[in-house]
Amino acid sequence: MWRSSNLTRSVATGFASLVVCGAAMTASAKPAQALETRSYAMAWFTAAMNSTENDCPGGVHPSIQVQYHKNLLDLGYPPAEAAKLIEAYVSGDDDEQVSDIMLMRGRINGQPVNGYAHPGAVVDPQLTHVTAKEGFGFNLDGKDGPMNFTDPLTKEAGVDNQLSRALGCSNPFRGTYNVKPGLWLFRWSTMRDTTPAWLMTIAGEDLDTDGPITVIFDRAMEHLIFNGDGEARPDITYRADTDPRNHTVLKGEIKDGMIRITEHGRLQLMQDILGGGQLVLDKTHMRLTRTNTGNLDGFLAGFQPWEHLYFEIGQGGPASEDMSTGELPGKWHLMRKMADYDPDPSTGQNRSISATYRVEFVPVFVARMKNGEFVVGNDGAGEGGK
Amino acid sequence: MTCERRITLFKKPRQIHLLGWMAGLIAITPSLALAAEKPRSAETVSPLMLRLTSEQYQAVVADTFGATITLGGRFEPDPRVDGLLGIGASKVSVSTDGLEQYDLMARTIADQVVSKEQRAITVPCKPASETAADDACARQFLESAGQFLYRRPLTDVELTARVATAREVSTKLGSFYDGLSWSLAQILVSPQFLFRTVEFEPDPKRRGQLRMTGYSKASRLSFFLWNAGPDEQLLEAALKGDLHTPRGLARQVDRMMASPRLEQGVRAFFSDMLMFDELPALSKDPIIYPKFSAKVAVDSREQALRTIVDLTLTNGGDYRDLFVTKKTFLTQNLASVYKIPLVNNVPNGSPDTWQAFEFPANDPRGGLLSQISFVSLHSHAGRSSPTLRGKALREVFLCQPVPAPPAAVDFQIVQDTSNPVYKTARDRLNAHAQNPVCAGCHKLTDPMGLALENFDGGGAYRTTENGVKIDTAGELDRIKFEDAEGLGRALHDHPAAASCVVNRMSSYGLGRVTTRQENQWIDALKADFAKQGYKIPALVRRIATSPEFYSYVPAPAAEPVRSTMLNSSSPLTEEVAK
Repeated sequence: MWRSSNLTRSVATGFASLVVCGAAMTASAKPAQALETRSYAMAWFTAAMNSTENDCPGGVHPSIQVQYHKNLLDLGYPPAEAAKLIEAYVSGDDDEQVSDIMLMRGRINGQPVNGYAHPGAVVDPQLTHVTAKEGFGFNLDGKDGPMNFTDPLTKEAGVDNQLSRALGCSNPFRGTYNVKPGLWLFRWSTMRDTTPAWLMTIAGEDLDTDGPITVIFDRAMEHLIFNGDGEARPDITYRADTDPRNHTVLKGEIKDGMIRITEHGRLQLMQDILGGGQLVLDKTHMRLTRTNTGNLDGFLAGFQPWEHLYFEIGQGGPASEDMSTGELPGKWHLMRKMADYDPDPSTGQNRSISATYRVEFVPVFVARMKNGEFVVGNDGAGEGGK
Repeated sequence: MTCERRITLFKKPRQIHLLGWMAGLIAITPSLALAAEKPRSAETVSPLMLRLTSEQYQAVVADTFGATITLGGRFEPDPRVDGLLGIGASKVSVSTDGLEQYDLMARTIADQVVSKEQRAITVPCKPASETAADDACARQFLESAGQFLYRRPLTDVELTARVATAREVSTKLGSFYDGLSWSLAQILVSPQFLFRTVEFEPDPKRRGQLRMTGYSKASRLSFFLWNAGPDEQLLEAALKGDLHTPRGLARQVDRMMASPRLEQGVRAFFSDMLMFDELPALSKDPIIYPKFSAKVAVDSREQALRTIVDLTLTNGGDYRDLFVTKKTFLTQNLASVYKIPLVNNVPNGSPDTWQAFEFPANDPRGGLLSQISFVSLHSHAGRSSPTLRGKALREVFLCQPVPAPPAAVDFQIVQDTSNPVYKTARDRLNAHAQNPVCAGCHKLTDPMGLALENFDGGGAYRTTENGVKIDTAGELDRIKFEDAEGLGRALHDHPAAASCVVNRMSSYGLGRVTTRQENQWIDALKADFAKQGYKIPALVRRIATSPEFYSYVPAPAAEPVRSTMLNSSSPLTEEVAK
């Protein structure tokens, strides 16, 4: 059977089928209205950091060897023994002994427990955090205060990005607008080879002019496909996973050429079970600009359950602590202290932390399930970007 | 067999094979043939030798021993002469390095064939003892396999020598199968296997005339139709003399054309004609063409071949429609270059699947010229080239050779893609053509090549270059057009296009350029091709059943191997020309 397509650069219609999984949006859909759609795959997803020379009073976090030495002392090891243990650890002659002690550095009722699995049972090492005034993101809660940033690009005040404040003094998490933080670079580079791609479709009457749009997020059934230069390949066709947990529909707008989310609902996308189980953002905000290659570049933000994030980062235990993340239970304490959303009714402890991510998208095609078949066509599916 | 044991047996491990090679050369050299052994036809003259291409070598081995046999070596590149590798195959020998590779492959193949896993399938008998020689079993195997490898039965002298080798090695190594392996490796490295030898004999029906031997006819036929050696039925027909009668020949041609293997032959011909052997090694600047990769290059070759097979064989279409057809086949990898949505309904991580696809009527893509294979192959690594494309179009599809550029040409303007004044390729070529030395040839190529400027050097569609709208208007032999589609139509209607494929296919089958004496035959082929609606199968059959396809033509005087058409404009050639 010969397949044909008029979609190479055209307008897709039939908005209703596009949001077939999104009950909330279906109610406001305009069934007969012709809409232009463009779809994208997320090529990069890294924490938005704005590290500067003087953003960490007291300095950035010490090397893991120095931190382990301090931890040993905190655990009650005599200075001479702690020094000897660290010497063996650094030389590699007997690094397992320190690793084992660090693994079980938590204490519950006086008994050693896994400190990575029970970071709250580890004495807070009082790691430093960012105190700078500028940080990327959005004013998620409409308030401004001493723990808010001003966005250096938009000059918006009251920016909530406590994740960057909590982790921004740890070298693997430091970065700038142009330099992706090393740890996120590594994590995303690793995951995107195998994890089903994240997709976004925008739909509106005319996507080249300002106006209201609908923003649809999905997870693909395929992992990202790459070009010879290692970057995500544009114009690949991805199938949108029909699992409703991976389908989010939010209202948005194009204003001054910038794509924004205006309906700040919850965004949920399943992720790699070996990396992060899922991405959940409440009060989702996004702003994207189109690059001269047709890609989209910008920020995605919201309040994110911080313990999920900790276990994404901390699941490697002593291996990742040594090689990539730096001290882990201390980061749990930092995030707990910086958490700024969703208080636990019984304890008052906030369960989510404001977070902003630098995101880059490449234009792709998205095929959606319709009548038992994945289709890209004049029934509302996304087309490649211009 | 261990290396040490090989060394014990012979001073040098490959000595026996190299001796076999030399003996083989003697055997197929006419003047020495009588001295070496009495051939089946002592009067055989004027042999034409064509080295097996890598595909043909693989096909013969697979047909003889099964497709699971791996080769374990690499082939020397085949030279392109007069536009075809099929002609280059008659102009080459084997270098010392190439012989080493053939020897390596011969031993690799032979070891697999007699291995414990394969021998039950590949060896038709069991020796009386696995630790001793068994002449009867060795003879049975070597006779059976040898006829497919040599594309004729082994002569008594050949067979006796191979059995003797098997006996000697089996005895010394205490292993029947080691002996068999050594003997088989001798066959696989012999010229009789590596070269298709065309032999002639006195024609009993025409006194004083020569005719091609039945086995040579069988080989010519099978390599032309299937790009593989003769099968059992064809060898049987050759033995019986059926191929010397028009009816017997036609029966075999029709049988072979009804086989799915015809597709293999058609693919091989068009791969050769379209120079697709160069695609797997084609590389592009990944910064400029990030989507282009080795996978895209290989897929683009397959896309074109699938398009050709579908149109000409599956649907029996008009050959000329290849220049305008909207129908093709795509993988997702290619679809992304074409910016076409294509659902790959397979589990995550599975290989790409091929899907039939038809470009919409208003899409600028259509025909082979707009496919990635043509526009990327005839471009530079970092920029398109209307000149290379126009040159290829004239030479490949119209059989009109374009002269190589003169030495010491200043290409600076053409190469400067960021020139602030000359923003498009048309601007740059116009400036370049101000040099009257260059203008003459560029008139032949550029007006056609510029029509393809909507396709960049990586095969992607574009409408502008450096912010300036691309003008794709062009002309082919006074036929004007506005774009690639128009060029495709002009080529479709150009009388030389149909004529060229007839010339190419007959030369490809013969392994040489046709001579002036054969013009009448070629003209008849062209007339029939047109009369039958430019159908490729009809042309193939007409050639394969023509007496001229098997006729004796005196060998031209020896001449050095000419450089290939594409290479004629390469920097190396220009350097040599200086």
